[in-house]
Amino acid sequence: MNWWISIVIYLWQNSLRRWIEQPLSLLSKLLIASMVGCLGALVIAGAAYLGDELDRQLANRDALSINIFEMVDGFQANALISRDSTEEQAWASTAKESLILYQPPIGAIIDVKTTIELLGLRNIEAHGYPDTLVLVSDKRPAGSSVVVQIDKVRVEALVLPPTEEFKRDQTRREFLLAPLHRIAPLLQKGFVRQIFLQVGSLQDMRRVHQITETMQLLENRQMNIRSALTILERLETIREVQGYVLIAAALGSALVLGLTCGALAWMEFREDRYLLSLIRSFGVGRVTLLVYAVLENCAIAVVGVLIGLGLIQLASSTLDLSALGMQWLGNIGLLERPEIRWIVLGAICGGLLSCIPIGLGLRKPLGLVLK
Amino acid sequence: MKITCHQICYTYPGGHRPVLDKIDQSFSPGTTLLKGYSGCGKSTLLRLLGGLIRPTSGHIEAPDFPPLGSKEFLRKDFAMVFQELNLLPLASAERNVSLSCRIAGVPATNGSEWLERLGILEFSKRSVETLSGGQKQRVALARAMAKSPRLLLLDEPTSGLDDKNTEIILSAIRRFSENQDAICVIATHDHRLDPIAHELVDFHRHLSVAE
Repeated sequence: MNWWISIVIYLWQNSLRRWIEQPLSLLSKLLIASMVGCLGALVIAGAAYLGDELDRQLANRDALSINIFEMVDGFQANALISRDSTEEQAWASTAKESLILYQPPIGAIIDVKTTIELLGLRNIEAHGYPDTLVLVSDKRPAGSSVVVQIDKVRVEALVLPPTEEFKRDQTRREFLLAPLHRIAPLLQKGFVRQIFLQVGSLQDMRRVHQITETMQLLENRQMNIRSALTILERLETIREVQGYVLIAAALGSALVLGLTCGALAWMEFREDRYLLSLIRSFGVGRVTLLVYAVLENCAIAVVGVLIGLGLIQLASSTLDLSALGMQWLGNIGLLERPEIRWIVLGAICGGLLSCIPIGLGLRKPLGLVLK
Repeated sequence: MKITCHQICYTYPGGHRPVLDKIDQSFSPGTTLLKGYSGCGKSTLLRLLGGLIRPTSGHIEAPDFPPLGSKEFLRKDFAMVFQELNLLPLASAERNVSLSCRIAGVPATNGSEWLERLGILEFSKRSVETLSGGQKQRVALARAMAKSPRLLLLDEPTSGLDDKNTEIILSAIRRFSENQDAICVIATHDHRLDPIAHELVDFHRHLSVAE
């Protein structure tokens, strides 16, 4: 057996006996590490829960949807209608879902006295309706016919319920949907174009805003864009700050672990200094002894932190935390989260930090320690 | 093989007066006794010779050794028995000796031989905590001699020992000096050690020691 293995085995046996004789020293180190682990895990779990909840809420409330309203006058109308096919394709390729409606300045009269919106759709079949006039309504029997009046002309429209795409728009309960080519004459004097986009990311949303601004500037288009971009950008900043908070939590845990375990390690080292100096006087290098101390302290810190994480996991899976308003802790899958590795890394850093006083102590000349 | 001190001075950290002041002394193979009253600096000189502390000024010349205090020197060429013996706690006498031999790269049988010569082979399996003062002293000496060092430093090796134990230690030192081409320096004020000395240095008279 190599001599340094014998030394390390002897030191470990010595440590084990010391821990058995004075368990308070080991227990206090483990307790501090597990408490820091618990606190760090709670901070990480809280931040992760907030992040998840934010994502969930954003997805539920269609935060990534964009509405663009464009006022098109008679001079631009023809040109825009004719080239709009490529522009619509461009919008469709930018967003996950897109719906572009053309609304002439006049509405359609239904039931003699009620005026409803008349909307044109370029490729109406792609949106689930037949290529004809459709009265989209959830109040009338589907499949029935209704007579409506458009600009003094009476025409028949087929009643169909709103598709999922139109159900999202809670403001419209009943409107007349027509293929674009059938109402093109009504659009010649100008119209309002409504573009509804559902993008997949904040980056796509920024792109849509940039495109719209470019159109406004270069083509003098009168476009009004509505989206949650400003709020989402702030939320993104908050998410970045959360990332820093996670790092700060991990580094803070490491620092607290390092300082407290370091203080305990220093107290232990003062007891062991004589022994380590004696072993050094046999010709064993400082590095060998420091590596041993690093391994011991890191092992204690990591084991302590793992105990803390285990306790949190146990508490969240067995106790009813709803009374404390912490039921979210049970749903978060704490140990599966990648952020937990920061805490373990923090523990290793803490173990390393705690060896600094030992490293400094080992520099003292042997002759000043041994008597 | 020779170790020579040139004008060495030493002041302990935080101390106001030097413990040793401009010491000139050579040490050759054989047994040298450093004699003097308690606190005159004998132990400090031993530590300086082993490179365990560095002189405040002056230097120690040891051309036939690796740098004093270096790992290589401590591992193979140096052994010291301190006043407080410094045995490895929670280890048996045998382990104390064998670990030192293993680090020095000498056969473990050396350790057994010296344990036998010093009459402690029968206790060698026992933890050093359970041994008497005289037995501990012999274990410390066996550990030092077993690694066959070229520089052996003994600090008060017989203090507090009865005549029987002292005789065992004297014969061990004598045997070591006879069989080993080594410098053996013993700091003591015990006159029972005088017969084994090849050179006797009255620390107070021969050396320039700070008052």
